[in-house]
Amino acid sequence: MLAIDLRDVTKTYRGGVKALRGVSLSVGRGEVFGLLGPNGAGKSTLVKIIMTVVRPTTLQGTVLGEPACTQRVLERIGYLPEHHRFPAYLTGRQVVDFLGALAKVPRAVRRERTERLLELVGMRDWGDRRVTTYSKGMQQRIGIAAALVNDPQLVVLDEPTDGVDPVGRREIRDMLLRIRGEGRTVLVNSHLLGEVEMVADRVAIVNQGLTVAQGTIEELTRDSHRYELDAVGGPAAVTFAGRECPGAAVPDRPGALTYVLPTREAAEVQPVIDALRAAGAVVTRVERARETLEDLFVRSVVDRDGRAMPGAAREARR
Amino acid sequence: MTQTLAIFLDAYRDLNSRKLFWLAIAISMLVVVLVGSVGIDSTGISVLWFHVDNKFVNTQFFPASTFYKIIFQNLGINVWLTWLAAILALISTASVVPEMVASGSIDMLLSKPITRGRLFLTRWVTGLFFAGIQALVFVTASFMVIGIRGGAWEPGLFIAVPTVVVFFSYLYCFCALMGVLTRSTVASLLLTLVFWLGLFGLQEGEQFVNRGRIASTMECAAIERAIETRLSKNADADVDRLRGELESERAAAATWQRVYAPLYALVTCLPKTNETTEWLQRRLIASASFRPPPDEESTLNFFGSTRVKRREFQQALFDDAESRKGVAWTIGTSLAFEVALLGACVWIFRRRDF
Repeated sequence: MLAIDLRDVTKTYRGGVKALRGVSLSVGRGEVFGLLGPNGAGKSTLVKIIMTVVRPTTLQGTVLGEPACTQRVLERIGYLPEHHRFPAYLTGRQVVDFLGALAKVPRAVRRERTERLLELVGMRDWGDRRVTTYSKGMQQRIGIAAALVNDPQLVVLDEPTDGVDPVGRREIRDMLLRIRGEGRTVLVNSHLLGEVEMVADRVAIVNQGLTVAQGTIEELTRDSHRYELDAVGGPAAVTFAGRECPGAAVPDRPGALTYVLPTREAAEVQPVIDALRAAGAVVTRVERARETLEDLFVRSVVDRDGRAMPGAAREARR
Repeated sequence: MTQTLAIFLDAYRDLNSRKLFWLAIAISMLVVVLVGSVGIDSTGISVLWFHVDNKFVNTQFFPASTFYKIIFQNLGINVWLTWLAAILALISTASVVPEMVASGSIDMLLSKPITRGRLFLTRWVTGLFFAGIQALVFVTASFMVIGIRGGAWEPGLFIAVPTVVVFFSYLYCFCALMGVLTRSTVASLLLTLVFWLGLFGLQEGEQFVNRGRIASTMECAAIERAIETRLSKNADADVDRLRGELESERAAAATWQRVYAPLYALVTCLPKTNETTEWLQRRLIASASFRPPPDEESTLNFFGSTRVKRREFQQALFDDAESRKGVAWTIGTSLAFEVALLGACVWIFRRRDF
């Protein structure tokens, strides 16, 4: 059963700005799901629609088996908004307690859970200080604790590592894996591709208000598997699977060319190596490679001429 | 209930963190202590160790309790609670709605299982806390001063607490609407003050015209009586002149009435800040013997009127207000306006994307 199953989500803001033009999203239970996209792609709008902060123009589907965008399902969702602002007069402990109470968590349960969560996010010793004295990283930790205080089945984190130093980012990553280990589903909206790649089981790339790719990183980069061969003194192109593969000059290595062979099978590469050797070339490197998430992302959001495709521009307008 | 309690506790913490809240409470207490430090005896008044003889302000002229009640009414209600404290309360609470709908704050609230309407209204009600606590502290302290210094224990005084809260709520619902629309604390505060001043001017205008209307009607009645007196004594020398005056006065009364009717209708549709204060004073007069000493038999001299006695006119005004400007008209229609404005707030808040 899916934790999030949304189809044809559209959102047109006043003024006719189309933030979402038919996004579909399928998030399985118990997985960490990365939501990616350039600025203005509509990611935050989609997250806010799930959290009922923004009303969709059209929407079909369910969240945790309930009709999406209803009050009832919010009891089972934890949320850390991007650029969250906690009341300046509250301590970290009071923030977690207050947001827990708003999520209808009974007082006694809240008290016990707040202690446990402060321990989990490493803020127990700082819990009685006002949030205004916290660093960005500490505020993110408190935000994550607050997102977990209602023992949610789905945790939605909007840019959880935003403004956090490398050590803090690593701790947050570990926290996400721990949350997943507890059987919860985590939806992470982030523009830090490396972060997402390290923790996400599946990702979706949203661009111009549409889902342009969705699946596991393996699935999405399957077609990008290749072998790269570097050779000195080789021909301008080699023949592979009946087609010409031109060599590209290797920077700082005069006479060396790189040939990219679109295959994941080592056996298919051997004839090319043999042909290069027969032609007197010296093979200096043979490496199996595939697209990184960043490559996939750039390929998804950049047009044929290499220009970043403009997003829905909603975020910029606001 | 958990959610409502949490929002109220949060509002308390918010108030508690504001210096202005405690400053306003401290000023309230200071005002009452200053009033309490003023004494009155058979020869005059005293302030701390200083005594000033006075022919008119002494316990021979009116009892000590009346002295303190008049101070409470004129300084406590008319100046402090309904102007200065209300402005302090507005300054302190104008940020409640704009801060709630600020980006980053609203996301956390709306993502909780609480309806937008309930969230907004509960937050709005917590904003009334400030005025309520301030009024309660001030009235309790005044109750003690009137009791201890004046020797009269008047629980009827406490009607001022809910009345002041209601009074403040008229302004605060407008402030909330401006907060939702502009999302700016400064803009909502300034617009509310302008709205309040507008209401004040309109009500003052309505009351002025109403005074003219009543005075003119009383003048007509006085002239009619004068004519009857002369006719009954067969002294009809001045009757023609009086009849001429009567015609002229009736025309003036009709003009007053023509001007008054649309003003009254307009005031009826809007929150009545001045009228609510005056309604409270009438209630205090009725429930806590707040009536000031009667005026001398001077004439009103309103627009040249020489026939209407000031005391009769005051009584007529009082009776007119009691008959036409009761709780339903004064507070009921104001609350109806408030409900309409809050309905607009909730409607906008529910439909808005944040």
